[in-house]
Amino acid sequence: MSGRTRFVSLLLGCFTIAIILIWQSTRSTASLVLTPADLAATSNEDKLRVRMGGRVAADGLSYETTPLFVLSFRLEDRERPGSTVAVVYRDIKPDMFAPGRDVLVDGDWKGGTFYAAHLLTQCPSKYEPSVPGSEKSQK
Amino acid sequence: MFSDLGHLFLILGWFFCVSSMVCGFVAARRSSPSLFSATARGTICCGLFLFLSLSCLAGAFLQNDYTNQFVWQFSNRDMPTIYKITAVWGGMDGSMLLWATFLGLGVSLLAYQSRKLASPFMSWVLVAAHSSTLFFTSVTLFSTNPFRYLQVPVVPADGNGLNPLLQNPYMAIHPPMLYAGFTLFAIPFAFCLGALASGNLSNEWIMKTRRWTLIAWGFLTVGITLGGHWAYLELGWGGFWAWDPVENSSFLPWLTGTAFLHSVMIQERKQMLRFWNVWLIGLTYGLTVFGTFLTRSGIVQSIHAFASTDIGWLFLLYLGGLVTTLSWLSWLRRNELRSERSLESFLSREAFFLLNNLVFLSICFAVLWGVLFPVLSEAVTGVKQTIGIPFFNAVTIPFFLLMLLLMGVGPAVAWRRSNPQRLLKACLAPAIGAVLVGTFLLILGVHNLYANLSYSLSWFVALTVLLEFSRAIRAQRATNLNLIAATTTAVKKHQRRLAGGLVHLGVAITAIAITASMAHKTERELSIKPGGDAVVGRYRLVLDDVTGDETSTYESLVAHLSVFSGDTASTPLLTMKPEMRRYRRNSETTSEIALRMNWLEDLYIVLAGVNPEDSSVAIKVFINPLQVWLWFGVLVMIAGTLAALIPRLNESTTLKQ
Repeated sequence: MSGRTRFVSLLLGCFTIAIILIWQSTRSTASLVLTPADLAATSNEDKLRVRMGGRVAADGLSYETTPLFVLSFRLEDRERPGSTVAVVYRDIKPDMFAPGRDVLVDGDWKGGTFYAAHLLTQCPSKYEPSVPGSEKSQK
Repeated sequence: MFSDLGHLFLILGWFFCVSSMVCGFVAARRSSPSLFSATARGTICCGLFLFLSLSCLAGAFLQNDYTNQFVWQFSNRDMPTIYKITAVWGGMDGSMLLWATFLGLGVSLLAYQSRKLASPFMSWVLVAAHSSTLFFTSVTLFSTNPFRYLQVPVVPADGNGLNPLLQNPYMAIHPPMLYAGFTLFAIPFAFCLGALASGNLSNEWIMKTRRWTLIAWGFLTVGITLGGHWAYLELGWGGFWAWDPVENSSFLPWLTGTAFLHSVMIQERKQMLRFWNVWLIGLTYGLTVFGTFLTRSGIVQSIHAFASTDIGWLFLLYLGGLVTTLSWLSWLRRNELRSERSLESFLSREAFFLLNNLVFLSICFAVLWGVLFPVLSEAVTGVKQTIGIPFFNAVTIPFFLLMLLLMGVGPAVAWRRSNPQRLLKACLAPAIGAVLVGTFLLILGVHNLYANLSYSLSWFVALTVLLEFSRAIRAQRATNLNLIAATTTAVKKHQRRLAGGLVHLGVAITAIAITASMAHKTERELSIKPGGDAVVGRYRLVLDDVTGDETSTYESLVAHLSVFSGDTASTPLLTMKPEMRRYRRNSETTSEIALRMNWLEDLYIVLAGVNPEDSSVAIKVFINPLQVWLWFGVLVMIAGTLAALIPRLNESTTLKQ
C-alpha cells in the first residue's frame, strides 16, 4: 500500500464515520423551525417537535413556583403581532425573561399548547438597547 | 473631547495601516531593507494609534460622555469604574474596535520582533497581517464607529447602563481573552500567506509561528472557559455549555487550531502535510471570521445574535477574499507544497497525528453542520429545520472518546513505523489501569457506556502521561542524579514533550469533570417554608430566614439556608444565601446563585421566588459532581501551554556550554 493510499483511506474512513454519525443524529433529533403564526395555523391535533422564536406577549404571563416551577406565557409572532401561541415551560424562569423580550423555545406542540423543553432568552452580551433618534451620525 | 480624539486616532491608525501595507508590498517586490524598516515602523505606529483610540473610548466612558451614542447605550453614572471600562466591549461597536486594536498590537509586536530581519518573506508576512488589520479597522471606522454622536437635541443626564448580567468580573476578562485568541491566529495565517507569496515554503514559517499559535490557542482556551464559567455562575441553569451558535463559533477555530498545533509537528519532523498545514491555518483564521459573520449576519437564530445585521455580509465578502487568495497562492506553489515523504505505516506517529487531525476536523464539520443546518435545510427542502443539544452530544461524544484513545496511544507510537509488540508493552500498564477503573465504576453503578468509557480512557491518558514523566525522570536518575536534579534535567531535555503531556493531562482531567457533570448531575426543585427543611443528595437544607436588602441600584430578597451534611448533623456546614435582585433602572430581575464548591461536588442553589404570604421560598438545587475539576483541568492545560512557551531550556543550556 502506498503512502498516498494510506493517507486517502484514513481520510475516507474518518469522514465516512463522521457523515454516518451526522446523518443519523440529524434524522433523529431535527425539529421544525416555525413562527407562532405558522404554529397557530396548524391543527391542534398535530404533534410536532418545534423550535419557535418570538416575543413574549404582555398578557397571559404567569409563574408558579409551588409545588413545581411552571412558567406559562403567550409567544407573539414578531411579524404578525396579533398571532400568539400558549407556551408552558416547566422550569425556573430565566433572568432575562420579561414581556416584550425575544426568546427561543424548543419543545413539543401538543393539543394546542407548546410544551417547551428549553427556553433561551436574548443573551445580554449582544443585546442592543434602542437609540433615541433613528439616524446615526458620524462625529 | 475623548470621543473626538479617539476618532482622530482611529483615522490615523487606519492611515498607517494602509501606508504600511503599501510600503510592505513595495519592499517585498524590490527586496528593499530600508522600505521593510519603514514598514515595520509604520506598523508599530498603526498599533499605537489603535491602542490610543481604544483608550480614548475608555476615557469617554469614564468621563460619562453621553454625547457619544455608544457610551450612552452601555453605561450610566451609577456603574462602578471597572465596569465603565469593560463596557467598552459591552456592545458591537466597541468590540470591533477592541478586535482591530488587538490585531494592530499583535502585528506591531511582530513588526518589532522582526525589524532587523528584512526579507521579501517577512515583508509579505507584514503585508498579509496588515490586510487583516485593514479589514477590521475599516469596518470599525466606516461601519461600526463607536465615536458617533447621540442624535438628540439635549444631551441626556444619564446613560442607559450596561446589562446587570454583564457587570461581572468574568465578563470583564472573557471577551478580551476570546478576541485575543481570534486575532492572534491572524499572525500564523499571515506567515502562511507570506511563505506562499515569497515561495519560501521551508519549515521557517512553521517554526516562527509555533509560539504565536500556542499563545492564540492559550487565549482562546482561556476565553472559552471563562465564558463557560460566567454562564455557570451568572445564568442560574447549573450548566456551562449549551452548544449555542456563538459558543460554537468560538469552538470551531479552537478545534482546527488544536489540529494545526499537532499537524505542524509532522511537517517539522518529517516534511509532510505542507499543503494540509497551509489550509488548516487558513481554515482556523477563516473560522474566526466566519464566526463573526454568523453572529452579525442574523442568518442563524441565536440568543446571541446581534441586533444589527448589516456588517455580517462584509465578513462573508472578506472570507470569500481569503479563500480566493489562499486557493490562488496554493495553486501557484503546488509543486513546492508537495510532501517529501509519505505515510509509511498506519502504526506510525505520523498516522496517529493525521488521525488526530481528522477527528478534530470531523468534530468541526459536525458542529458546523449543526450551526448551518437551519439554513441548509431551508435551502434544500424548503422547510426550515433545526438541531440542538441532543444532536451535538450524539455526534461529538464518540469522536471525543476516540480522541482520548488517540491521546493515550499516540505518544507511545514511534515515528515512521512502530513495532506492535513494543507498542503493546508501552501501553499495557495504563491500559490495565483504565480497565480496572472501568470495572470498578461498573461495580459502583456507572452503567452508561459513554460515561464509563470516558472515565476509563481519561485515566488511560493520565496514566500514560504520568508514566512518561516517571520514565523521563528515572532515566536521569540512572545517571546518579538526585530526584530534584533528575527532574530538572528531564524537564530541560524533554521540555516540549513533557509540556504537551501536561496539556494532555489537563484534557483528561477536564474530560472526567465534563462526563461527571453530564452523567451524574442532580437537579431538584423545592419549596421550603421558614424553619422548614428539605433533603437533596447528602445535604439537608433548612430555611432560616428571608431578608430584604437594597443598594443604590437594586433591591433584593435573600434566602438564608443552613446546609447540613446528612439528616442527623446538628451543626451546619455553612449558610448559603441565594438572592434575587430587581434593578430599579430597567426593572430587570436577576438571580445571584449561592455556590459551595469542593473537590467532590458543587452545591448550587438558585432562588426562584418568594411567596409574600408565608415567606416560603422556591429554590432550584443542583449537585454537580467534580465540577471544580473542569476549571482545574483547564488550568493544567494552560500550565502546559506556558511550559511549552518558555524558551527552550535545553537550548539555553547548550548555548552556555
